[in-house]
Amino acid sequence: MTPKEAAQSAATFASDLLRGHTDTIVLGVLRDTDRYGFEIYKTIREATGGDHEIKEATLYATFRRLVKDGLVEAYWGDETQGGRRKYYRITDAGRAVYRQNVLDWTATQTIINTLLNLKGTTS
Amino acid sequence: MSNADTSGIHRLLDDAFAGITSTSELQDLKEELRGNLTARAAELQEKGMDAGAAAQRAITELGDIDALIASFGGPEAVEGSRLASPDSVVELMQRNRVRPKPGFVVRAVVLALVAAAGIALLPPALLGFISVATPILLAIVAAAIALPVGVVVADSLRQETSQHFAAPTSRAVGFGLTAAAMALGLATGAVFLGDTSQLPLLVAGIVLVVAAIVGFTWLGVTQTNRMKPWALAMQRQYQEQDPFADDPAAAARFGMYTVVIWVLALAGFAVLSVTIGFAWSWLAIVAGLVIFMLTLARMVFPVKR
Repeated sequence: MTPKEAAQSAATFASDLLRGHTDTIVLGVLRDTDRYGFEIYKTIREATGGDHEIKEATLYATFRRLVKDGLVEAYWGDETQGGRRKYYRITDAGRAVYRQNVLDWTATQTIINTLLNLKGTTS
Repeated sequence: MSNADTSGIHRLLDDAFAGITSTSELQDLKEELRGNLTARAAELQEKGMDAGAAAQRAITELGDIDALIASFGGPEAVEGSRLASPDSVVELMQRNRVRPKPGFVVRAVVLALVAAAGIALLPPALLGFISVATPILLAIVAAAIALPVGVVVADSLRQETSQHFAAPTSRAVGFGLTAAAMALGLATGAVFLGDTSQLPLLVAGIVLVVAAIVGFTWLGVTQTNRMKPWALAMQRQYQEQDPFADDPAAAARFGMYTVVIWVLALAGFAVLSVTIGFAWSWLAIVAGLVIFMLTLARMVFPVKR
């Protein structure tokens, strides 16, 4: 495996893993303040140092799912110029789910870290 | 950014949505995309890109817009019918069942008993059967009524149930404090009634009650969804089944039938009471109830042809 291929497969691995947590990531971004779609995408993109790990188009499916599940509320902003923006607000249900998912992830992370270090402890 | 040229985005969006049967959901998506693409294009233009290129770049960065549009067409209907069978509803309820925590139940019962004792103490104290100095009575009221009420309210909201997530701590505390203020305000007003020379008590009571009303209003207006997704889906399904929800005429008809049935039943009861006597006149009420229930059954579960 060339270094380039290795980097490629690492990126695929990370984005597969990330995709499973898109809902939680979006909920996390909305914790402090209401945001509109592009703003959410931008926040995520900037946090990952500009690598587009989560595709903007897939976020719309996430928004729709979150709204349907009552974890997020959508409302239209009152911009007069250009396109009106659809803002998202986290609900109490969304906060509870976010907290639970973070706990679950932390637990999983601990287990995986332990399992990945199995050989290291025996040698 | 308000002077950015956005015509390129409108054109590209129209192209992407061309030839697609528009649903309200797709219309919504189109408007949402418009807002977001405009924001991105404006950002690019600020960096010196010209309008056309910025619009093109914003669309490209978005990713596969056709797949996105296609994904908003189908899966919704499939997901909606998934809950349809009664078996899966029972299964859903069992799978999502959350048992109350024993500690919470014990706390609630004990505090409810304390509050009940506090409330039971008020009338004899106020009427002078038990002599308690007003300040001491106020302290008892605060400790034995307002405090338990507030704690039980906050504690209940912090519990996860089968259908609801636990409320965030700050909101639960807010509801608890407001409920406590309401209880304390009402109790202080009651203490004033027992000792009408203490005008400040009345003032304090009114201030507390008004503050509690303001608090409840604020909490109510800022309340967001706390229901679990499965419970929300069930609620949606029941709303679809409700024959009155999408047929206001049927609801109005049912209202009129109800009035007619009960007016006739009461009239029959009155007439029979005078002519035959109370031994048999109650049958008119029973007949009214039977006709009412049959009407209800026919309207809610219409006979299928």
